[in-house]
Amino acid sequence: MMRESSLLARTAAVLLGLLVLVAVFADLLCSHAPLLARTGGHWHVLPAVTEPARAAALTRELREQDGFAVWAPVRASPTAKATDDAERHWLGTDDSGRDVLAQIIFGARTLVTTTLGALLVALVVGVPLGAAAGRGNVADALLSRTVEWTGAVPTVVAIAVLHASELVTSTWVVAIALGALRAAEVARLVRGEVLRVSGTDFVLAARALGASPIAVVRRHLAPHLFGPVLVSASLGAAAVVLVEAALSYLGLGVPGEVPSWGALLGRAGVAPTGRLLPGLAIVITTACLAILAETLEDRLAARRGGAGRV
Amino acid sequence: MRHALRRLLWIGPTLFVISIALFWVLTAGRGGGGLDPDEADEEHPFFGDHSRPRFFNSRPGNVRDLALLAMQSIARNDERAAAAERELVRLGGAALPHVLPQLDSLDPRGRGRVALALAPLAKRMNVGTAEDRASADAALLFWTRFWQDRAIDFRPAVAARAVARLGEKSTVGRRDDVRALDTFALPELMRKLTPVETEADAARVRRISMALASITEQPWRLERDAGLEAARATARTWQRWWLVHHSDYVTHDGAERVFAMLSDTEYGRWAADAVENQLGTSESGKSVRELWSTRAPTTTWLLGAGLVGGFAAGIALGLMGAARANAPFDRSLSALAIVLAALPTTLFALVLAPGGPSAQHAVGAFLMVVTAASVVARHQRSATRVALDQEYARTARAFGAGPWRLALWSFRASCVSVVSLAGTHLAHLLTVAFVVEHALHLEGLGAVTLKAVYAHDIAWLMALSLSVAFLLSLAQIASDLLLGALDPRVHLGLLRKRGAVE
Repeated sequence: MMRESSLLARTAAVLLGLLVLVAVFADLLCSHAPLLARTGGHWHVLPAVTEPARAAALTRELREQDGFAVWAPVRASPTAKATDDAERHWLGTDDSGRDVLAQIIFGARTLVTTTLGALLVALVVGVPLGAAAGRGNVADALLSRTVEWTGAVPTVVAIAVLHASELVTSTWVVAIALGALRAAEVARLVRGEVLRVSGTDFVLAARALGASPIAVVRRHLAPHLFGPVLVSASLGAAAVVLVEAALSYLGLGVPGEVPSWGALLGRAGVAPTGRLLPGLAIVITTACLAILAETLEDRLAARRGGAGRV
Repeated sequence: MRHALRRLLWIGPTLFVISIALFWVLTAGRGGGGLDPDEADEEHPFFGDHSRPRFFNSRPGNVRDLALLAMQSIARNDERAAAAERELVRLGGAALPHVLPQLDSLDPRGRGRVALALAPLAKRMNVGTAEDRASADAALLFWTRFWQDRAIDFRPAVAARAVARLGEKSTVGRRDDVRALDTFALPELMRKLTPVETEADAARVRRISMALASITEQPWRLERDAGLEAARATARTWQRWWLVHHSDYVTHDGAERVFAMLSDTEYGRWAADAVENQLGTSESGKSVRELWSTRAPTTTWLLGAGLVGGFAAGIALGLMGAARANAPFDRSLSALAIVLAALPTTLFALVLAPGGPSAQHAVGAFLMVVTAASVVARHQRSATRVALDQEYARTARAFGAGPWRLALWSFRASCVSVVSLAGTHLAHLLTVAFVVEHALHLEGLGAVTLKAVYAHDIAWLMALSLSVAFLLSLAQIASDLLLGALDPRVHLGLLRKRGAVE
């Protein structure tokens, strides 16, 4: 049982690692310009990234002058309409002529950016807020009000409002908004943990021995917080992935030009396989995150149970 | 119970804070475009557009200030004089009590210019003759006399009587009475637009709208045999116009001025529109309430299906899974739950392309049930597992209780987590419901909201967020109450927090 679950968790971790790799090296996997080219006696390395203005002209030059070039496995751009005849659309294009496979590859980058950004915001805001609420009365009252306020506005409505006011200018705005909405949840979790650990005998003993509040937090609270926060973060990541996909599908997610899996699901003119793949990718990503969270939770429970059963 | 009451009372401030925050965000992107972003300069060239400060107006609009400013500009004959002339005529009769007594304070040539500038107004008010409007001297003489004779008419009580008489029956004399008061009668005319319930009311609205249209030179007249609906729509159009422009035609004094500092703002306008026109008027011109009542049933049906069906199915599956923990059934159930929770409903929607509208509703409900159940089942399963690890469960097992019976038996202890989930999960279900509506082309709140986002429909978005916030708060309170009833410890904890119990 243990071995099997750890195998599952490892697979999940490997798949997620692959996703991050794809996101990081999307430019190497998929580019409308060559990765490496030599024309007119000059070497160009990754012209699509280093000199985007010249990339199109370079492609033309290459065709005319018969230079040397190394192409990416997928020769297409996720944002621009296909112009080059040499481009092959493995999964077809959408209604405005953008390559679907390229959008899937760069969609991974959008997904990773949004998710990590949202998590970062949620943790940076939520953990100190929750810790403060677990220790002070005023902060506690403030937190419960904030949780009430953010809980009363569903994510979809909050993001719709942001879109209506034309504030969604980049992926980061969506990430920050999703993170801020999740922060309340993180804060609530941290508050509960802080309250629980603060009441234990070893914290009492440390304080009796004269440990300063900072030392108590560093030595005793932080290690106990780490596990639950990690579990909540991976569950939160799964939730963010899903919500981002749903919002993008509705047209309320990342700005229209940014490739996104969710948006591909709803875009007109995409062939069924072009929809199935991003859909599957979303399912696999969320499932991996959920499996990871579950495994972490099991480990955490086992460690806690072990500690109690001396 | 007291706890619930207190929470209910907290909803008010909560909604207020949310409304302010949302309004701030909604108007932030467009630099305070407000209710009428398209209504630009051409209508009011003298004072610019009608945008207001968003939340606090240190100088609320006021017909006296506007009129005197315009008057001075005309008297000086500066570069804005032409615009000021148009502005003064627009302000009309409401400006006369402020302008005419001040004429003496101007130098003779300025006086003449102002009097001449008011000539088109005299024509609109149907007073004086063409000669009176011909030259500056004649106009000045005419307006001086006019004020001597008619100053006594420019009082609210007189305006109220004239408008009331016009509302009852339209004769030439009564029409002229109101016309002679011009914009001074606007507040009374607006008041007489409501209520619109019977045919007689519709006739009154027709007479009033005729008078309004000729005074303000706006096109919204009511046709002779228009029905009740048309009368209502016309009345609403006028009320909306008044909401934006009323501060140009009235004076604020004393406490009213303090109030105007808050109400004569973008937020104040939205709030007044929301209160008067049933949650406000959406960009399409319909009242938000109307739109809401036609679209809400679909979304409610989906949410209800998710909440009731999803939770019932999820609890049942969770109990079964926990009873047979780690058996193949449980394993496959857990795996399925993970996948289903992850599977965006869109994928379903694409696979199950449905037929007629009733089939679509059924498919939509099914999708909601599946999505909700997959989350609930996982919660219920782990909660039951925890409950079955307790000593009393071990004791019961030692006495020979079977796994099914144990799982059912521990339900009262394990359902707490699912009940508290219900309060918060509803917000998430709303997102899912929007996605399902979009995928199945159901005409629910989601479709309207998407349209509202592109049309920058503040009224709808505000109404939607506030209604949803209100309902979610209620759901949260209900779930807390249920929690207290199910688990006395929660109740006791609350009492202890208040210091009622040691």
